[in-house]
Amino acid sequence: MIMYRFFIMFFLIYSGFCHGQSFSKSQLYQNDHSFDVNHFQHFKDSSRFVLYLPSFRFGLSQKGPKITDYISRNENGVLLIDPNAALPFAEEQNIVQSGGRLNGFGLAFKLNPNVSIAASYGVSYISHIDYPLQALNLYTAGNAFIFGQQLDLSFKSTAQAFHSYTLASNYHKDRWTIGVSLSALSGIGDISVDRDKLLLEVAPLFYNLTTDTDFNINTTDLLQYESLERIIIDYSGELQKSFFSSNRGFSFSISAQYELNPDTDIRIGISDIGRIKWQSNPFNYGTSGIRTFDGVNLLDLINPDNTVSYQDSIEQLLDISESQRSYETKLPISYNLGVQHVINEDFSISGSVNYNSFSSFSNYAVGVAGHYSINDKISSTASVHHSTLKPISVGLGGSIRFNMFDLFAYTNDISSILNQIDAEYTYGSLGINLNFGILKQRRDTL
Amino acid sequence: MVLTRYNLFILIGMSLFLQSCGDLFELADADIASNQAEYAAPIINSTASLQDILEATDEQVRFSVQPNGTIELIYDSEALTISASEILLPVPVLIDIALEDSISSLSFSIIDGFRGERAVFKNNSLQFKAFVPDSDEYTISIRIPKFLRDGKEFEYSYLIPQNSFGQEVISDFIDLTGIELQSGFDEIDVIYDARNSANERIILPGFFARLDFLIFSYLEGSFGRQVFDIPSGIIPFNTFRNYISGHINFDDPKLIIKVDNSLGLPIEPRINMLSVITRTNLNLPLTSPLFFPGNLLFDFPSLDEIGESKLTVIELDKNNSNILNILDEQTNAILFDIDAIAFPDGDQETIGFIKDDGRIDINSELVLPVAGTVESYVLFDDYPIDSLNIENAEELEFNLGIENGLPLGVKFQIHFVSPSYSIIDSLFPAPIEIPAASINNDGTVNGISEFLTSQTLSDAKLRKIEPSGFIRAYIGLFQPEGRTESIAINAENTVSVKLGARVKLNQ
Repeated sequence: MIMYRFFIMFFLIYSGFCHGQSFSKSQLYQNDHSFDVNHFQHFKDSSRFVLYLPSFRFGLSQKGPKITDYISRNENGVLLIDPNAALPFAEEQNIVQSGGRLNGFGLAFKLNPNVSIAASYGVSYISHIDYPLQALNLYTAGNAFIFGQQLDLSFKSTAQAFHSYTLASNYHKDRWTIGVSLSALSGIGDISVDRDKLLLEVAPLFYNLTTDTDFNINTTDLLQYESLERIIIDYSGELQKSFFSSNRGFSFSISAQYELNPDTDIRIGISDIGRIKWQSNPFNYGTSGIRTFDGVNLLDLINPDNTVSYQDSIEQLLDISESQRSYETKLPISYNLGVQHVINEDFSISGSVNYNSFSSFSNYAVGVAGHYSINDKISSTASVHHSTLKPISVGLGGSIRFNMFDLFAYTNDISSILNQIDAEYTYGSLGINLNFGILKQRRDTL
Repeated sequence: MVLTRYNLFILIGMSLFLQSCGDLFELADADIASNQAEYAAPIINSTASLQDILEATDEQVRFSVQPNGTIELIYDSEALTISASEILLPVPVLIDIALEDSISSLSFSIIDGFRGERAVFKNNSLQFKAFVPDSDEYTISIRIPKFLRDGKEFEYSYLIPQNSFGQEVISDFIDLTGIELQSGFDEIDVIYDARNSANERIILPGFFARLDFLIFSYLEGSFGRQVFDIPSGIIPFNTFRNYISGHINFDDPKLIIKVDNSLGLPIEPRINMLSVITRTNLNLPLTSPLFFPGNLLFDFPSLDEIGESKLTVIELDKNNSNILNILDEQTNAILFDIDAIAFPDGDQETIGFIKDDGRIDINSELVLPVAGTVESYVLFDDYPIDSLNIENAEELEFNLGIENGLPLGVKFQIHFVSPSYSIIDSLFPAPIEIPAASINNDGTVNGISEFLTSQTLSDAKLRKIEPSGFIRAYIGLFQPEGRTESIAINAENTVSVKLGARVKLNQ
């Protein structure tokens, strides 16, 4: 019951963030023109400027019940959150993980044929919840299904958003292109669990409750805890102040591209090495130790001078302490490896390996894609993926050029294109950028 | 054309994403689907002695433990007091006392029948008033030989200035506090000496002493027979309120009256009333040979023990009164009205004293050692409930475990009662019976009696009891099977209650 409150709240807040972007840009889609540490390739021919217009990309991994499994509509069409409907899909470990970036604006400038610099502003979201089957059972079935054994309700969760101000530079020499980027981060809000032990035992016969906890949740401007009956999750900060808040952090990304031969190059990158220190109105709610509740004292019940609060007694099981210490969160690091080979002027293939290291659950994805240029303005991409959470998925995307504009859209799970949140693993990217300062109009490839 | 195609592309792309997350935009307004879950939780876990239970339910009782371990319930009356300040009331002196000659006598009457030997003034003041016969200057000196301050007689003089003819010239206030008045209160000489400017002694045409009131901090003398009215008192007796049936016979109830006396007077109590009042308002007089005149006398301090207090304890028990016959579970209160009679035999020779901080304090306590026999004694108590909060409950199952360490069997039932006092339903189909703890031949407990029961309240029953306004708990006490002799409840005899419940919720 108690854990369900946390669970359902984090599920909701997670859901609110789920259409952010992937943890890093996929190496598979060579024509994904969204801002990246490796931006040298975005200069078309002899253009000197690339203006990145708003775009966004997101990644989503789900293990166990998907978001859509929690959502249904009743006969009157009212949207329902229904954990019971999700229960058949639950596994011992259940994860919903998403991250991404909404690029506001960016500008890349080629200083000379070898060096470019770029700057960008964007907003990033990270959301992650990792909960055990027993936590879901606690809500759907209650706590009266296992006696004398510990229910493991431990869960990890992160939901955070931050502004990022990025400076990047690429250096191209011979066959190498090296890119680095450094981002200053300004946190908007955060909820993150840094210690997650929550064990509950119900004794047989008289159902004494014992908790064994070492749990701490930190929050900045997203959660207000008053009691277990009253937990408010809402953004309580001032958005306009969040652009340059005292929740400061940084991130660092590097990439390298090597041209094996004129038709083949290989790319490697590590993204989002960084952290944020949350110090604007932080709150920490923690509980630790072993506590038992055997029931209230009958003498207190029969004494007319005493007021007995069963709710308070239950809350003492957790004895949640509150403090206001600043805290740090790390960004999920992405490791990417990609290779591209041009078959002919209209057709190329690529492959990639991606590994996201995040909190309690890391996942990988491998994929191959074929890119076909329909004409000098339109190209299309088809891909096949294998990931930790989905053995096979088929992706589709494309880009289109209108004069200086490059428009692009990709998804690596075409089966969920109409319902991205129904995918076990998906990546999507949608955006536009603008090349200008073009001295030479000819384009060899898109 | 280009702009149109661009818009179309964006539109298609965005539509796909928006469509893909459509439900999420409504999530904040979504309802939580109904759910059926079963929760288990402990409700009660207590171990309590009889003393613990009575302390929680009876504000008036206190406890002591006898050397053999038996608990004594003690019920106190409010302390009744008569203080010296109520006896030594200020005596108003309404008129100025005319001093007719240069030697005059004053007479003070303080308490009827009192023959003073010694007194000490407290917070009084004295003034003199003279009518001036002409315009000459006068000096007036006054002496009162029976007024002593530090062993010296009282002297005072004041001046009437010239040209005061026809005026009343009044002296300053003369503080009498601490002045001792020697014996012979009915003849106190006041000697004044008035002289004119030629030092000729004259008799003033009008010379008066003015005392607003008389008040003393100490009186010593023969008081004669005095009756001090002490307010009546009550010992409320709530432990066995809400009696239903049965009987309890206490082995040895006692009424103890403790008198703390710091008045230096021999005092005999006069029992105007001492009665047991039953729940049906019967007045059962408590009688004792001790109440016959001359049998009781409160101890008192002697003249060598001024300032001390003497305690007298009067214990009325089954051996010197009828208390055993009239005090039982039906008792509602003990009422008493006792007066204090000083010098009850009218003795005029014995000297007594009253000091202004002296007092008689009477404290009464009813002492009930919890030992006796019980005959199917049943009582109840009501516990109001704002709301049972069971609207989402479909079924409730509870396990009740009791470890009875009392040498008494207990019957227990709960009724759910509507706000209009009609019984809706009962918790148990029939009252549960928890056997007494096992006991030795001498009645001491040598083991506990364990009892466990499970009950399930169906949805229909939950709906039935939902509108309850309060629950009524019935507790019955009965003798261990086969035992008719008296049994005693000791301080270490406890009852443990554990209650856990499972509830199926539909929310």
